[in-house]
Amino acid sequence: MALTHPGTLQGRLVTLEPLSHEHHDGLVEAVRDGELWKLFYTRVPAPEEMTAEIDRRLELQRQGSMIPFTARRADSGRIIGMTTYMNIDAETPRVEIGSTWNAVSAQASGTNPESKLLLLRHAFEVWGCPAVEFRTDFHNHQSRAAIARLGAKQDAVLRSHLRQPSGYVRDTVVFSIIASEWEGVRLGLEQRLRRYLP
Amino acid sequence: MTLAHPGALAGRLITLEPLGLEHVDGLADASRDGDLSAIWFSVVAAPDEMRADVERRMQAAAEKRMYQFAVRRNDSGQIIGMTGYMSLDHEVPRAEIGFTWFGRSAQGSGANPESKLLLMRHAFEVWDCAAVEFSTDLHNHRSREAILRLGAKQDGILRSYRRQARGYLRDLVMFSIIAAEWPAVSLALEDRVRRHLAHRE
Repeated sequence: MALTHPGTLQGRLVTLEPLSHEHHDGLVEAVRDGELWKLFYTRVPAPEEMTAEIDRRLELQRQGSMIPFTARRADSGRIIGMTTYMNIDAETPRVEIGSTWNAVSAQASGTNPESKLLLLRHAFEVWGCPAVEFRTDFHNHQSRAAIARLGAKQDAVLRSHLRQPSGYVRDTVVFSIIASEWEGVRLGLEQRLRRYLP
Repeated sequence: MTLAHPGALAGRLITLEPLGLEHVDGLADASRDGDLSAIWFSVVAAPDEMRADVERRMQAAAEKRMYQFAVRRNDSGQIIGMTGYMSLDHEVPRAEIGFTWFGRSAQGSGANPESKLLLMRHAFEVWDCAAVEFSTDLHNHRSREAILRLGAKQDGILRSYRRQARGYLRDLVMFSIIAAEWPAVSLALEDRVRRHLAHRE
């Protein structure tokens, strides 16, 4: 059994479109806004690596382990970042939401919580996942705080777990939201989004 | 970098042999000793499914994802269980030691600590792993205790992690030993193996 692709996920602030090479130039422009690839604890692609990164994600999609998206602002149509379902376990079913980055000017605009709402709603309400996972670098305090603010619980710190592109071996913090927690998480996200909506 | 298969690993109590079809009958017999496949949280193949299980693991070895071994007692030559490396991450490098089981009469015989000693020595001293991982079902108290007794630290519990063949959702307990901890773990395991040898004489 494979999980069916959700197609485009349409929110009020953000649209998540299936990743394609047509998004390349917009993604390069978005990633320059904040130069996130320079942070030692991230795996964000540099502008010249964007084509290879799109290829990598599409290849994982072909193998069935990833469903990658491009995030676009609903008002201006501007591309602001990437996100995915990854490490897909179609049998349980269980997914990780990850490989996410957003242009700095899009941060705190409500697009990230709405992206999470769209992705989590589909995972829990359409696919019937018993759990959704998030992972980040131990040193990425911004990401850890954002994941905890969703209402995810910290399950583990996997020590000396993954080699980062900068060469060091990171500790990975693993979080999850399980199905019985989804309603509270959904209400929290909807409340946060009201601030950004007219 | 690619982690090469270590070949057979010989200890004083047991030898780890790269898993092959010649082990199927011995493994089926070993799994009957304690009726291991019948335990409700078990992932041990039933005797009549052992051949398919071995073939699947041989395929994973060819793809360098998993190097599984049959465990043979040095004194009797009997096959008593299975263990090996899984989830090989050739980049860190990092390996999980898992899918370990022993027939009931081999439990408490020193076979498990010596097989862990052989596998971790190769992982840390030849492959230069940054960490070795163990994981087990929340309800497998025997396994959780055995892993802690190695000197592994519990990193956490992954909730509702995987749907098992029997239908229930498994919570997975995660453990690790990192490179800095290996010398002490090694000394403790060598001591345990020595005591089992002394006990036999």
